[in-house]
Amino acid sequence: MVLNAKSRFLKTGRIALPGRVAVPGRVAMLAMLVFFFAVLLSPAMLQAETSPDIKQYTIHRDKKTDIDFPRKGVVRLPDITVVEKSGIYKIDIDVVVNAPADYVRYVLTDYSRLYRLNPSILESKVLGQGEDGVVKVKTRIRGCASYFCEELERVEKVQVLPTGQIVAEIVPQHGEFKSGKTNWLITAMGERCEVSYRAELKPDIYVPPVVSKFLVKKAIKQEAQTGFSNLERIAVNLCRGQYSEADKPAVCE
Amino acid sequence: MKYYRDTRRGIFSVWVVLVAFIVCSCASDPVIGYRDDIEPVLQQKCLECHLPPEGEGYASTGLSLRSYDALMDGTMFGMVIIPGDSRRSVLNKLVEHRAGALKGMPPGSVKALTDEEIELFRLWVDQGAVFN
Repeated sequence: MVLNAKSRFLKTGRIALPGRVAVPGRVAMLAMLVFFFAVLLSPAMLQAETSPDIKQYTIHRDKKTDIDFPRKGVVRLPDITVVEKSGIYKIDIDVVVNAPADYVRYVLTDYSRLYRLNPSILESKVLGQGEDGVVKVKTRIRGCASYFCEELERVEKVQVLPTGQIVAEIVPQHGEFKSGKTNWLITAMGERCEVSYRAELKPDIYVPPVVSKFLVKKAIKQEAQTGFSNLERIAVNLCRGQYSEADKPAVCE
Repeated sequence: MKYYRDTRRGIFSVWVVLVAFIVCSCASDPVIGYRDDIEPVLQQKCLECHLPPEGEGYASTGLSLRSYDALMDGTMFGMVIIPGDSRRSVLNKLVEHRAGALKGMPPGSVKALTDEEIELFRLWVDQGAVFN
């Protein structure tokens, strides 16, 4: 009897009991659990339960500007290449930004407000500035590959070269990067500019092979798209000075 | 018969655990209301600068705090609240001084937010930043 019930359970996931009462087996119970956690206890459901007065809200990012931004990102199709080799992510981005070079450079070197460039920059602080013009900047970023997120801290030494190039080198002792170098080349093109971004980053975290690395590369591309869109928006708004001169860089006055 | 009893006991245990989980998850954080908890703090400590058209904060960023809709519209640089994600929301970054003390909000120490008020903002945004 017991053996019969067991074997039937293995085949069907249900145990037929004497008296023809069918009781869910372990498979069915597991399915119920998964359903419960996945659907009934999802954050949206909990939120709906606790907040009946939810107001449907549409966010108009560019409502306050006269600029006719395209719906998805401002930057026109940046050329983004992400290659991973031996744990080092090599990122090449070339993009034309519709804002003057000085403003773009100003936004990129406004280190305390780097968080404006991308929501994934959770913190940005200036730790100190040397006499040689090298600024130590700490940022905490959240990187997400699909549903898996990791917060990474990095400290960089950033310098603006006489050529206008911005170069940054990661200080490996601080944060979750073993090494890294970043180079921003901003070339003026009248009212627009071309931005070339080159970076080699070696995060000090384990990324499982193949699929995860594919997801990381995909995430980097998405974040780059967001970052350049915001860079252009901020630079354009500062340039047009719609609200105040307070934020304008000296070079633009 | 033994398996029947074991299975019933198993199901009962699972439901007990689930009910306990629901109770715990619902009772863990109080629900923060915009009208009751957030708006008074904004009015008391932020509105002076973020009141259009002459408020200094409004003039420099375009962020008006006159209403919930205005808050959700954000600044000329983008939105300041990402509903459900206080870690990534600019508002929380600023009030928690994650952009350094000099760039924190409100500026100066006279109207600095208390730890309790900062926590209110965090919970409210994490709970969806709804108009309630």
